[in-house]
Amino acid sequence: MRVYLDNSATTPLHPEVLEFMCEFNKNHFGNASSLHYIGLEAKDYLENSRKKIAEMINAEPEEIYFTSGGTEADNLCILGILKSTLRKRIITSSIEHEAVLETFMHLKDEGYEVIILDVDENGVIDLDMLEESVNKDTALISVMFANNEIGTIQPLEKICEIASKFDIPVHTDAVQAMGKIKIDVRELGINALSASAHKFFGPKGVGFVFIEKATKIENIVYGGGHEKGLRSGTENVPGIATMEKALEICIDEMVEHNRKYDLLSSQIKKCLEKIEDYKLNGHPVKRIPGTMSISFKNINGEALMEMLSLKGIAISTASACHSHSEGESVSHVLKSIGLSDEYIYGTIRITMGIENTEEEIKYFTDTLEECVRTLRGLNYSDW
Amino acid sequence: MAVIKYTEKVIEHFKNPRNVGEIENPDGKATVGSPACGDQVSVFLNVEDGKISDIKFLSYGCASNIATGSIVTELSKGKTVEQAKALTWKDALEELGGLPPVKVHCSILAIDGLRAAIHDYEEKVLGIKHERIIDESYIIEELKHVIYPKTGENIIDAKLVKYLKYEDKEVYMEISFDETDVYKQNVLEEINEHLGEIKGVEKVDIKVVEY
Repeated sequence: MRVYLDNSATTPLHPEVLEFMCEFNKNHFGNASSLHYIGLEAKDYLENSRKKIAEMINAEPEEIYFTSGGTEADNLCILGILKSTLRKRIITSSIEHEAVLETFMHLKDEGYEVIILDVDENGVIDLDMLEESVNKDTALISVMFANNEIGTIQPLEKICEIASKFDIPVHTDAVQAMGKIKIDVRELGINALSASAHKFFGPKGVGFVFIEKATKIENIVYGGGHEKGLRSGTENVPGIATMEKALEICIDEMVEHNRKYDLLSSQIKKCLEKIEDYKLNGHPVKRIPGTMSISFKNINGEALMEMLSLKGIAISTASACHSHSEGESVSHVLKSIGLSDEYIYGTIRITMGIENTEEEIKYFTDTLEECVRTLRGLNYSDW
Repeated sequence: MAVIKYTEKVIEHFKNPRNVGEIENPDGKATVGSPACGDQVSVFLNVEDGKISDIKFLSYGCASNIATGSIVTELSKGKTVEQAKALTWKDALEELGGLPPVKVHCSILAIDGLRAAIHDYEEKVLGIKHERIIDESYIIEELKHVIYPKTGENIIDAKLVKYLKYEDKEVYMEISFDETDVYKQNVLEEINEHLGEIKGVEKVDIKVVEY
């Protein structure tokens, strides 16, 4: 049996989306900048997608810009906003995705004063620390919507409230949240948001940003002046239209999917009770549905992942043998929430998708139980 | 369904590791690595008539770590102590049909464990005192246990170490990396880990030369 439980890494295309994408690519290949009828038709589709996506997050069409995905979206929001101001203090959290953290590290080298907010054991940022950190020199606060490893949702409304005292723009990386929970940019009061299609059953290589219209931002790439000069480069119209379709389906089916994820999550939790010495990471309630981070004591997470993979189950791990991965070998997120090494090395992440069934989860839990037993039998460790 | 990077033999030994477990009151035993570094191997052995009559291992490690532990116990069982001492990680690697370069360091741990268990046997049962003279060649031998994940070679053979001096319990070394080398930090950590275990080394001074 093949069971895919790594939907936070990437999702398969929704079957309807795949069909739509094939048809669209076949029929509408035009360059939206061309002035002939084929180009104008592409332009119509492009603007229609912009309008629809804007509606889905309660934004206005002119506040949506298309990018090549989440990383570019984060870079554009952060670097673009900073280019338009003289303020030099920037604030983020310790559990951001590398697309944000590495950008901040680069900015630190460039002379920016970087403040990295601590998180509590559930992965929620320290609001008091934020309150103490903001001042008139603060140029930007960037805090993710929901964490990719542990699923915790951040108190963005409160962050925006604190930021408003000094008129500081707030950016959020919503890559893991988009399509999974309701997002209303007005209600939250955020200035910028990034999203990526392949995390919500859309295609890879396409994403978008929301930039609130009064927020100052400058372009970071130069070229033909597409997207009102903010993001030059021929628009990926088929990708954008498909992304819109995928997001629409996700939002339409959200309640139904989330109900299923909750059901499957409790199925997994029931199995965990039989396996002792484990921990569930992330906030118990304020979390995105379908994401589970489980730490097993006396288990090497990488071995567990490899063993499950041999049995057809795809999950991800929070650590790798220390020469395995490029750069950091252990999750900075799990370190930040204060998880001890004995648990960090035994952590796996399960992220569900629309295609998962109860039968699949049954196979997964049976296999998990067996693998944990096998690996614990192999193990000699005096923690 | 296969983890594509591994050979069939690695997968077979990962799924069905041989000689797993502990031996009560063994003639020799050792635990190398640590779970806090992501992998650990323990080796237990008994010796009869100069031959390894029984050997078992336990592992807290990834698939390659487990598979190498399994193959090392298989290779050394029934061998004389001297033959077992002569086994290298290359022998284990060959027997497994190879490992991806980034995983080679996992295979060294099992060989280290075997050697340390034999060492323990020699001290405990035979009463041999291992007087180690710590000198530059000893340090170099130890550094050959640090693998450069990019190529799977050890850092001495990969010619990363440009200068080495051991004086007054302090190791001075220069090591070169490409400016963008993503494995730099990993290698430096492993060097410190390996040299830190040597009793005659109190300080390690590493200068990184980027090019």
